Amino acid sequence: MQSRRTRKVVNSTKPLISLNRVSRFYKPDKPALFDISFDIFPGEFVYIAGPSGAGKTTLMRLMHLAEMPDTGALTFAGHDVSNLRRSAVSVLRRSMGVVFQDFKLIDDLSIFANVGLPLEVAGLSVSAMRSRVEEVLEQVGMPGRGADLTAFLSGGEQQRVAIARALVGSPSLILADEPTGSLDAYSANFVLDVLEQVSASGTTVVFATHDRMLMAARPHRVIAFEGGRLVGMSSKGTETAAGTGT
Amino acid sequence: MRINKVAHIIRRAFGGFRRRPWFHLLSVVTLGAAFLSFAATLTAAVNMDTLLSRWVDAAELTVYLRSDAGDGDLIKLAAAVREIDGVEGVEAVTPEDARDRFSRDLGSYGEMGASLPLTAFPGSLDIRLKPALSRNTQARTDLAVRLENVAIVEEVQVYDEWFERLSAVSLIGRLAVWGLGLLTMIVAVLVVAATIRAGVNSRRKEIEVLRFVGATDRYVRLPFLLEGALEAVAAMCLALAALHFMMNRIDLVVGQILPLIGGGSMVRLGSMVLLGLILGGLAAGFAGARLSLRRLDEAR
Repeated sequence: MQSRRTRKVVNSTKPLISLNRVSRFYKPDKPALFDISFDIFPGEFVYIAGPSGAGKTTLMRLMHLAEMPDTGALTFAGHDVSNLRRSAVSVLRRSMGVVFQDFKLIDDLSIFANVGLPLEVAGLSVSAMRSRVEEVLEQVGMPGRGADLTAFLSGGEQQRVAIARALVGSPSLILADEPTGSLDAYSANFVLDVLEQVSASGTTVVFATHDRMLMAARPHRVIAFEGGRLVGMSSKGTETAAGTGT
Repeated sequence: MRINKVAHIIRRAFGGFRRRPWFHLLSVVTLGAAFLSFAATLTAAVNMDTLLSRWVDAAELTVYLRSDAGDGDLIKLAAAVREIDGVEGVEAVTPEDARDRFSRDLGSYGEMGASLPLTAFPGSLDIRLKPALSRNTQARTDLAVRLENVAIVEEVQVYDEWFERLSAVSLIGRLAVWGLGLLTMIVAVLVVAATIRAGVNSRRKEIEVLRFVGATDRYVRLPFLLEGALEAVAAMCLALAALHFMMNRIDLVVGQILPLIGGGSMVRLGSMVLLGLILGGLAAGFAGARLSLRRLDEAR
């Protein structure tokens, strides 16, 4: 696992994710996303900002390959994802980690079983899983807790477990959809600390949020949406032309 | 890597049993009852078939001689019939022997039989046929016609009506086994499908999580398919164990009656049949699980 992480190459000249005039329609006359184009480069920390209904979650689902664009092109690590077979999509997903606002942990499984799922799917042995899971649990401040059931954890702890699960496969991209939305300030700060550390070590982090204060306190590049349209982009630490839509 | 994946899939399948033990136990018992009824019917049909075969194999032709034929004619004809291909043995029954048998059969009224005139009891030949001839209706009829053409023969009895009735009973038994077999398979498929569907519904979140961490459709489906197949095999093994126990009990009673009606000891299902039943259970379980997973692949 360590060798896989050290093999991760941060090549900022080629985008990790590229959207070119992407649209997504659930209803013909009301696009969830319309004519979106932007690039995200390896190792970047990017906020996807906007109010509820702006299209953040649809965008995250597109980047996670859970949905495909109706028009336009989406490439991930140089692969045009629209023509990929389902099995290839599954394999590509193994290079992504996902964190949700509602954690999406399996309540009747232990922390180890939850965090180890990506490694299980990748076909690692149980012993290899144990050492890697312990490593990431330490990274999220929960060492030696593998045997605990997730059902008995606080919200902050559950989100740490969810982040550990996202990190355990040493992904090149982490998609975090409002991960701090249901957390107290301390837990939210901890989550951001971990994600910034991960980003600093070369992993791309895409963080969907509507929280302007958070973005101001932890400045990174912002891509702002409103009503399914891209309304502004900023480089690190600057306001977008259209604000953040909040 | 592949071995680890197989190990994870097997662990996941057994995890389904571990997480919902009572639910799975209930469906194993339900399925086991269906399988037991089928295996018991199959055993009954096999035993009935064996009994009928023994009756058919023991079948005789009876040749009655004319009243003017003497004992010498009877002995000569018996010797000639013994030489016919397909004849197992011949017993010559003289009029005296016939009257003695009749008297014995009358028990306490035997004296009345003994007083009857010998002319009332024609000499006869009881002919036992070899199985190949006794099971061939046409050959048996040809032999009867041949014997009827002998000058001193009055009548030949071939018992064809009995053979036809027994064959019909045997056919009904076979049809019942096939019908019940089909019904059992349908029940098994539906029970397994319902169990696995309930398992899938209770683990929707887990399936969703598996998908977003990169599990392929096959990785998601295989544990459920294995779970269904294992459940059906466990039910079949339970049914066969119950059948074995039942046969031991039944053998104590029926085993004593069978020799009296021309049967041997009770016949149990052979090892190949048992293997076939277990494989049939496996197939039913697999099909049921597959049926319940039809819509699982629709979501990305």
